[in-house]
Amino acid sequence: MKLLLVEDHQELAANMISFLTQENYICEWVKTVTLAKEMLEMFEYDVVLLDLTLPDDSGLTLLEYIKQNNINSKIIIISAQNSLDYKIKGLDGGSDDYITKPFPLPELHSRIKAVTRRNSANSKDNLLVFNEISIDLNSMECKVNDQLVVLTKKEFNLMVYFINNKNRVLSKQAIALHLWGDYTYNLDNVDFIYQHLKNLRKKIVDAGGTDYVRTIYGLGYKWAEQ
Amino acid sequence: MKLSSRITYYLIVIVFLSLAIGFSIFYISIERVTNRSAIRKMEHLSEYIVQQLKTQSIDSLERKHPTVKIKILSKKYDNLVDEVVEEREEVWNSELQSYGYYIKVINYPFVNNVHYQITTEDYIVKIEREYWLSVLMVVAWIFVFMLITIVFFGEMIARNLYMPFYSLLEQMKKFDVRKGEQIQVINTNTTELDELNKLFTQMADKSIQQYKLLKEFTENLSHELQTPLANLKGKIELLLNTDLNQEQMQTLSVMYDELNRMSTLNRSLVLLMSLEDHEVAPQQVNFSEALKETILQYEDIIEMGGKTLNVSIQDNIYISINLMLLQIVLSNLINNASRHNIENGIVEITLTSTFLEIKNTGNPSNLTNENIFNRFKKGTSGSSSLGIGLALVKKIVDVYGYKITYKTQNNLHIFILDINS
Repeated sequence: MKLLLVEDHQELAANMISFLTQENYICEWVKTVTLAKEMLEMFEYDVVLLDLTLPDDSGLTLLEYIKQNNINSKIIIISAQNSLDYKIKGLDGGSDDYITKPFPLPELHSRIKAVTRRNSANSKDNLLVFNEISIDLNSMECKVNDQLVVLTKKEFNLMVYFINNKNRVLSKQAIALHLWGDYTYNLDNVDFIYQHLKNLRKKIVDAGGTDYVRTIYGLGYKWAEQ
Repeated sequence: MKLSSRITYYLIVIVFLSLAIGFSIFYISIERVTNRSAIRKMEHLSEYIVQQLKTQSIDSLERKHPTVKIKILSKKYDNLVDEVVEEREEVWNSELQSYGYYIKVINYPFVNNVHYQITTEDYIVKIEREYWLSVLMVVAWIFVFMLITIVFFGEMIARNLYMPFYSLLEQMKKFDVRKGEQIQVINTNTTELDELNKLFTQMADKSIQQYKLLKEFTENLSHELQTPLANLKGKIELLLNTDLNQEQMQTLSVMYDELNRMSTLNRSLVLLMSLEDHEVAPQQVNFSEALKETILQYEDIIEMGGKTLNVSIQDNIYISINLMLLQIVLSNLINNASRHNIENGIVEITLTSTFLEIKNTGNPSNLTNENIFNRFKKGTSGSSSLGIGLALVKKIVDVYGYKITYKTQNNLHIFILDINS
């Protein structure tokens, strides 16, 4: 999958590229709106990660440009501007998602997966499989060894997040942010995710599945094969 | 009391006192002058008699001047030379058939070595008490006239003179450092008022300037902090997925937690700052739905801690606010009720068409309605909360013209948001 990252901050861009490359994305990076337009004219990208405050112009201009030229890329706005107006403008302007800095990198990965899957004609894209566990993202069904497991919405989201970010340490905060979204920012204690995780693990084991969740003491959890 | 009325009031008191004192002085001096002139006349008469004694007999003089009695004194009274003046009030005069003021002047002159006693007496009729009353009435009428003049002209002059002062006062009342509007002064020719105008204009300008600087500083600081924070968090996340031992992991984890706290705090501060000049563009929002959605998000968190959640929501309550800001208000309040609770406690949420009430059990605290919404004001529970959530709630509610109050009752902490505007 090819990504175009439009971000003027070198270090932040380096972090994202380093992370996204680990996840097997092909990631190209430009710093300005002008350069981004040139790249978009020459190549096709699945997703454009767009910062709003850029040296030469506002990211919203590029958003407009993409929509006007019918460029078939998904757009995720990444911005430090958490002013409310920008969020609304971005989503109204046709971006597919909006994420506010600072965000956990696994969250970005999960958002990219979500926007690329959305409206996908290929039904295979909507199926997430990890060994004996298979998840249908359209019908929101989870099967372990072809046996239906009834999960709550949060448990379901939690599992999708884990499988999307398998073999990666996920901090409790990152998990909470994913499950509760904007509501998380005033939670000072995110230990309550433990309860959801406990239920999820129990349901999978009860259905004859393997417990892939490893606890990283003091930090968070990791979904990995033993 | 207004300044102009106060001045009028003092003027009236002063005029009254001066008129009263003036009238007394007038009264006493008239009396004195009358007496003095009568005595003077009688002395004059005595002097004339002395002159006449040289040539005329006592009898003829007494006949000519009925008010004068002349006596020759014997040797033993030789030492009597000083003039004696006798005054008596309210003496009945049968000749005039009225009470009068009786004056007797006695002189002891030596004429041709004869020692005489010349006694002159007279009654003077003075202004009677009832006539003094009419004089007093005249004074009283003068007082009334002056009163009207003072009140009328005083008020007019004060209004003109103090107009710049009142205008300044009015502007200071409306002065809002956030709006940055300068004070418009009215130029006067009065030194003090001009100075006052100048002083206030300077002070207002200065505070506007200081406020701008402070605001810019906070804004810049928060914005500039966001990127490095994001960068640091990213770096730690990348580092966490490399080969690390348990101890290194834990250190990183602590750093990561602290960074999260910092960025949350920073985020709230940015929001708080942006609310300072937030342009209210309210939309009609379904409060009931927003509340239900927020409760849905927190339901599990509240119930996980063994707490009971009681909800009573009236449907289709609309208020005018920005939806995202409303969610911030609700999530802060609900989260607050859940966080500062006790084991097996209760959270009660009630929405009616006029108010939202969020009630929770909790430990007693010394927080009051006045200080609970202050930034970084924390309860005694020693929790790790950031202490900015309620400040944010208050700010949002204020910006949209609603009112939120806090009270505590039997260890119940109650927040009431008045939406009946």
